[in-house]
Order: sequence, then C-alpha cells, then structure tokens
Amino acid sequence: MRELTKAEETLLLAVMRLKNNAYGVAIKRHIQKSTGKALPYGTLYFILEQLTKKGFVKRFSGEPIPERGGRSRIYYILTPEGSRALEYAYKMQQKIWNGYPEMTWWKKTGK
Amino acid sequence: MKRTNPPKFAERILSILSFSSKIGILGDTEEEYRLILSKKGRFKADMWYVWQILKPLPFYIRSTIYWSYAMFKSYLKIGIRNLKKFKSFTFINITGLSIGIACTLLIALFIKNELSYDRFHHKLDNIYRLSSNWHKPDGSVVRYGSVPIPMGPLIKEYFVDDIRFFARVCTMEFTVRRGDFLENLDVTLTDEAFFKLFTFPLLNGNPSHVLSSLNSVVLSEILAKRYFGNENPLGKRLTLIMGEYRDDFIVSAVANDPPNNSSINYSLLININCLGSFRREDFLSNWNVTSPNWQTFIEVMDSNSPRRITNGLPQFTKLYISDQDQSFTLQRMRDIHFDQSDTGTPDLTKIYILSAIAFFILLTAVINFVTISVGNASYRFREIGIRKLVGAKRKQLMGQFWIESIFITAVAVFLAVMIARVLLPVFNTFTNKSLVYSDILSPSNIAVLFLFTMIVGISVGSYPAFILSKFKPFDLFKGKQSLSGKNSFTRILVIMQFSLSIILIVVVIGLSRQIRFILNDDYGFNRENVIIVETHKREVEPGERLYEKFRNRLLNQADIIRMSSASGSFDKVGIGRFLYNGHDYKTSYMRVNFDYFKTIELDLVEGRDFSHKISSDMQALVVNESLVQTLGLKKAVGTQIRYHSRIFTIIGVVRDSRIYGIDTLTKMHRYNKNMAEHRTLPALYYINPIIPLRYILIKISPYHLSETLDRIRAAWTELEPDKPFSWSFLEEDIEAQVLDENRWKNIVLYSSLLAVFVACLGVFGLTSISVARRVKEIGIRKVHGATVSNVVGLLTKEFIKWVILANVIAWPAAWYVLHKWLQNYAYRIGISPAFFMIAAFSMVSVVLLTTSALTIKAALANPADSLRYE
Repeated sequence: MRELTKAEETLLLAVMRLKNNAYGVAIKRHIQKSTGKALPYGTLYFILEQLTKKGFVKRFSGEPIPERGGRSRIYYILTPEGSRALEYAYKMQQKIWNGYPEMTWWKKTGK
Repeated sequence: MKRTNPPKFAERILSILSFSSKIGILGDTEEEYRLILSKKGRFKADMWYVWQILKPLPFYIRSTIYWSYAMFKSYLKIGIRNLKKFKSFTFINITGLSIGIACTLLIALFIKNELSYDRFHHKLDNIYRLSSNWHKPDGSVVRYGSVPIPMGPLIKEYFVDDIRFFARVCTMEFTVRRGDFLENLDVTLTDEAFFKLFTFPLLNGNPSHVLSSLNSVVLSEILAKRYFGNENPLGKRLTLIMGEYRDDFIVSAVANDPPNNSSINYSLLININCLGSFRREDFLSNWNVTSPNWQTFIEVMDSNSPRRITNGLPQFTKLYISDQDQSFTLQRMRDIHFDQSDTGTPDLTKIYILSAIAFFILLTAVINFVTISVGNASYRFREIGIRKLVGAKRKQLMGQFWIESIFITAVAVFLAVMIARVLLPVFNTFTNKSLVYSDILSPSNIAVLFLFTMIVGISVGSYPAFILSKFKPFDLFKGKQSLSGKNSFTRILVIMQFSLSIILIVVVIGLSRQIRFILNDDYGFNRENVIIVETHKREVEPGERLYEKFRNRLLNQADIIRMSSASGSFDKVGIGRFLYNGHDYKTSYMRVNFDYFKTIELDLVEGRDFSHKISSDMQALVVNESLVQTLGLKKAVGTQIRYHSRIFTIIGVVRDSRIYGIDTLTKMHRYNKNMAEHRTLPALYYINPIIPLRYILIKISPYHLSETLDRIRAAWTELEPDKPFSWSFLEEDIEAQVLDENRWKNIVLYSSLLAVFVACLGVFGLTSISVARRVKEIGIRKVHGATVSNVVGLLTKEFIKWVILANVIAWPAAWYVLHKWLQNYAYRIGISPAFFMIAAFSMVSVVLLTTSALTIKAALANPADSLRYE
C-alpha cells in the first residue's frame, strides 16, 4: 500500500469527518478550523484529484445551485480503500510515535 | 437589485488560472464569496476574491514558463539532433532559404525605397507640379511633367489666393570653377521659395533668404566638401561658366544632401533669374519650349485650391498661349515618382518583375523545405510513433516540427542578412540605387524579419506537422505509411520550380540576344577609334574658332588620322523641319565640318562630299537615303529644298546610318507612330555655320593610345584652360545605350542562376530521398539482372518527365514575358525556337548532373548490402 502524504492524510480525514457534506468550501473551512492553516482551492483540488486517482475518494456532483452561480457542488466521499489507507496510516503513526511523551524530558531540562 | 456574485472579469481570470477542477474551484470561490459578502460586506468580499486570484499568480507564471521552457528545450534539442543527423538536408534547406530570403530582403528594400519617394516633404500634400498635356490629332494625349518656364511667376500672380509659393526647378549644365578646380556640373536653377516649399534642411542660413540674391549659391554638403574641404564655405566665391559668359557667386548656405529617395536632386542651386548674366534671358520668357528638366512646383493654400486652380487654368492658358493643342494640369507631388511621362522614372513593370523573381526564388526554397521535410519524414516514423505511444498529443508533435522549421528559418534569416549585406553593393549597381547596410537592419526591418521568420517557419512546418501527426502509431511502426516524392503535392511544387527556372533562362537568352543585336547591328559608319571631344560651346563663332585652333594644333601629329567636327553626335542630334514642294517634312539635322563622312567612314552612294574649293557648298546639303526615299526623289543630286529659310541644294547622298540610340528611337516610336518605324530616320547634313559646333571628332590609330590621348588633352588645356576636357570613344557612346539593358540582363541572369541553383538543391534532396527509399527495390532489380544504366534510368526517369512537363508549362509563359519585354524596343529580334530548346536542354542536363552522383552510386551498390536484412 502506498503511503499517504501529510496533506493527503489531512484531506482524507476531513472528507471522512464531513461524511456526506464533503465539498470544497466545507473541506477548506474544516481544515482551517482544525489546523489553523488556509488551504488554497487550487492545492485542495489538486490533492483531491490525486486521491481520486489513487481510488481513496470518489467524486460526484450535486444539483446546480444559485449560490454557486449555477454550478454544482463537487462532493467527495471516502471509499473502502480510503478508510483502509487511513487506518494503515494511523497504525503507522502510532508505531512511529510510540513512547514519544516519555522522551520529552530533555525539553524540560533544556539540555 | 444588488450584485451578489463576484465580478465577471475576475471570475474569468480565475478560470484561466485554475489547473484542476474548474467547476469546483469556481463554484467554491463563489460560494465563499457570498458568505463573506453577507457577513463583512462587498468591499471585503471583493478584496478577498482578488486575493484569491493574486495568490496563485506567481506560481502559475513560474510553472507555465518552466514547463514551456522545458518543452521548448526538448524540442530544440531533438530538432538540432535531427538537423545534425540529416546534414545534407539541413544544408539544402538553409542554403535555399537564406538565398531566397536574401533576395526578398533586397527587393523589399528596393521597393520600400521606391515607395518612400518624396514622402519626407512636410508639405507633401500641398505641393503640386504643373504639367502639360499635348492633344494630338488622333485624339491621344501625351503628358509631360513640365511647363514653359515663364508660367511659374505668372500663375502665382493669377491665382494669388490659392498659391502660396512657387518654385521652378530646372537643371542646366554649367562649368564650375573654384580656384584651379574645374568641372562640369548640372546646376539647379530655382526660385527663392525652394527651401520653404520642399523639406531640404539647411545646415545654416535662413531658408527664406538664401537664394534671394541673384549671385548667391547654395551647395549640397558633398559639393561643399569637394570644393572647400574642411574650410567654412560661407561667403566663399565660385565662378560659373556657361558658353562664353561667366559670373561669380557667393556661397550663402550649405544644404543637406538630398535623400536617396528624392525625385528632386541638387548639388548646386542658384536663383533662376540670374540667367541674365549668361545672356540666356530668353529662357525666362520663352513659352514655346518645355523640357523634362524644367519643372514647376507650387504650394497651394488649402485643400480646395487645387480644384479652383484646375478650373481656372484654361482661362489662364488662353492669356498666353494660342495653341489649342496644349493644356495644363496639376499633378500631386505624391504621384510624380511613378509618373511614366517623365524620363528617369522607374518602370513599374520592372519592379513587378523583380519582386516576382525574388518571390519565386523564396517560394522555390520554401517548396524544397516542404518536400524535403515530408520526404525525410519517413526516416522519422519511429520517432513520431514512439512520441505518440508515450502520449504526445498532436499539438505537441506539431510543436516539434514547428520548432525545427522556425529554427532553420531563423538561421537562414541570419545568413540572409549577411548575404544581403555582401550583395548590397552589387545590387546597387544593378538597380542604380544607393541603399546602405543600415537600411537592412532598421528597427522596423528587424521586426519584419522576426515576424517573417515566424510566418515562414510556421507555414513551412505546418504541412509535415499536419500530415505526420495524423498517422496512427501502429501504422508508423509497421512502415505502412509512405510519404514520398510521389504525392501530387510534391510533384506540382517541383514542376513549378522547374517552370520558373526555364522562364528565367529563356528571358536571359532573349535579352542577351537583343543586346547583342542592338550593339552589333549595322550602324552604317565605323565606330572604331573615334574620339569625341565636347566643345562646351553654345554659340557659333567661338566653336568655329576653337575647332580651327584645335585642328591646326593636332592634325599633323602622328597617330591622328583625321579630324572633323559637328553640331551633334550619336544619340545627341536635333530634329527640325524643312520644306519641299510646299510640304513640311521632319528630319534630323547636323551641321558638320569638312571630312565628317570620311572620319566616321560613312559612305556616299551618290554625288560628292563637301569641298573646300567650291564656295557654293555653303548652300549645299548631303542627305541620307531615307530622306531621298521620304521625298520620293528619282534623282536626288541637284534637288533644292528650303531649310532655315534658305534654299539648299543637295549635292550628295550618304548611306543610312544610325543616328539615335534605341531608347530615343523607342520614345519617338511611342509618341509618333509614323516616325522611327525604321531604324534610321531622314537626315540632312550641311556645312553652313548656322548652329554651333558641339563635338570634335578625332579618328586615331589604335596604337600608342594613351600617348595620343595625353597629347589631345594637353592641346585642350592649352587652348581652353577654362573648360574641363570631356571626351569619350564613339564606341563607348554606342555601348552606353544598352547600359540599362545590360543591367537588366545581369539581374535576370543572376536571379535565374539562383533559381536554378535552389531548384537543383531541391532535386538533389528529392533524389536522395527516393534513392534511400528504393534501396531494396534497386537491389532486387540488380539481382534479376538490371544493368547500371537501367537503374539510373529508372531513378532519373521521373525527374526528366517532370522537366519536360515543366517545359510545356513554361514555354508559353516565357514566350509571353519575352514578347512583352521586346515590345519595349523600337527594333528587336524575333523570338526563335532555339531559345526554348537551349533552355530545355540546359535544364535537363542540370537535372541529370544533379541526380547523377546519387543515382550512379545507388546503381553501383552491391545488392548483397541492400538486401542483407531480407
């Protein structure tokens, strides 16, 4: 299984959390809220397309609505491969970070 | 209603900048825009939207440049590799194109210069030239760009509200003396307003006054340098001499040299009213004479003036001229350069011919480029196939071809500029222009050249780009596609090249035959070893005296065989009228001296020559055969005719001889169909000193030429220290009449050589392609017993067929062009089939020579090599 990049991970998690409401604006706001970073739409969509290609998310468009100037919202939804990838990433994360808090003594003593 | 969506143009920009998921990005941005709008107001929302555009902009620009640069680099690299791989094709393409472009460049310069004539005058649109129309009895009108001299001041007075200034511009030959320096010069006689009317800047002095004094003179820069070197010429003295009269002038200003695109040229200007000092006041009041060298220009007050003047002109004319045949019109300054009625104007058709030739050479080169890249493409099927397989889009494949062709064109343009630079002096002598190198590289030209490179590059690259990018990769690998010299497009192009070359060759042959014909035709006299010395005398007495002195000084010296003098010389003979039986006849006339006929070996067919001993010979005439024929005389000797209000008796008849050059004859022919149908005209000779002797003829022996000349010159300087020694060989004067023709012959000759060369490059390229393609076929044929000549024949058959077809196409066109061209001459050669045969033969042999090296090599190759892989 290919590893996810940090940005892909963040986006995939956002799509998962937003469930049926995962489209551009919502994803962007969610990420801004949770990480404090503003992700430009260009980057956002680029990563989402990568994810679509890898098969981790699926894309579908909703009804055209006036707020978007008659354009459809593009929704993303997590695929089983996507959730497996997240799970894998989570486990890897844990393995890598295992025992981290105990090792922070040098921080307190200031070396 | 308030606007709730973002500004349209901003949306458009955003949509261009969005690489991925356009709809998503646009939609999301709009949705968020509305959110911000409802919370924070329009200004904030708009600012936010703009920020959305600005933020990705640097990245967008960077990545666009980066990727297109990367792509461009790859195209260029592969392109250069290809050019290196197919060296001979690259050479053919670049050579052909650069020659073609160089020719076009030179012609473009030439045309640009032609079209820019007189455009530098600030008042161009207000300047008009007065011209005369002569209404002939047959209803036709002949126009001259000149009017009688007195008209200028009178018309200005008559139309005082419509004409601001007038300036007559007349040229006359004067001898200019500055210290010991002596030369004959065409002096421009004009009016005060000259420098106000025309835009010829003065280096110093006030344009309104520099010519107001009768003895002030304005010099051009070149002349000022020649006479005064680095001294300040202002206030210096010059002497002008005309005939027996002379006057001193003081330099009042120096003017910039007239630009090389000016119809009006000058080197030394004086006020026309000073003619009185030279006893030529009659010019200023003579209504009966016009000459192309005497022009009158006016500046009108406003845009309605020309109409008012045109309407008033008949009224004005009636006051001074009773002759109904003559009327006057206005002509825009803008138009005069291309007015065919003037002498010395360029023939528009010649410009067309020149541009057509240049265009065709360029076209030939472009055709080569296309045929070779199409033919050569078979070598590149694999490359194209792989590119396609890897996913190159059609656009990208075309980009590859375009980059290659633009690269080649750019190199060719660069070389073309070099070639044009080298050829410019030669081109100048051919076209009688003075173009300079900086004309080639003017900013506007560089821009045009750049554009030209792109256009030629793209258009040349287009055909292979379209054709080759169309194929499916699979077919390309299987070698199913065949692109070759066989397709009809290529065939048409090659035949066009051949046809053009053949037309040019035929025209060259015809022209050189015509020139030879003009020169070697029977002139009726012996032109060899005759020196013509100008006397510069405009009056009878001084001319007689000078000749007598000159004759006594020289005649008994060694190597000087005979001497005589006359009022005219070859192509410089006046036409007058005489009366016979109450009828009026036109004839050329010449006042000659004793021994004239012997000096030029013009034979008498009847009667006798003038003699010293017979005093009645002062009233005697010798006429030529044409005159006898015109009068229909049975017995010419003894006939009396009335000439110059005296009775003359014919005492002898000489052979018809050529009096005028072909140009003069042609002009006479054009203006008067009855005259000059023949190469000779009626002519009469007399010895009565009615008109001045202008030319001294000296027959010398062909040995010790330079010593003889030195002696003649010494005699001249001793007798006439005031006048420059101007002399020529009679033979030179005869050759001078074909100067223009020779120039044209050379232009066509060299351009036809270039056209043939470029066409041969193409043939060479095509042959090598077809040989390469048919290697296996040749191998199999040889295995089956084909001989070398069979194979060579097989390979050249096609080209020979094309050449023959090209001949069939070219012959009528060549005939037409040559026929039209020869119509320009009063007498001409007939177009003989030999011209066409020679052209066809030379074309066939050139093609055979070009292809032979390749075909023979292919035919001699061992079939085992070519069939090794089968």
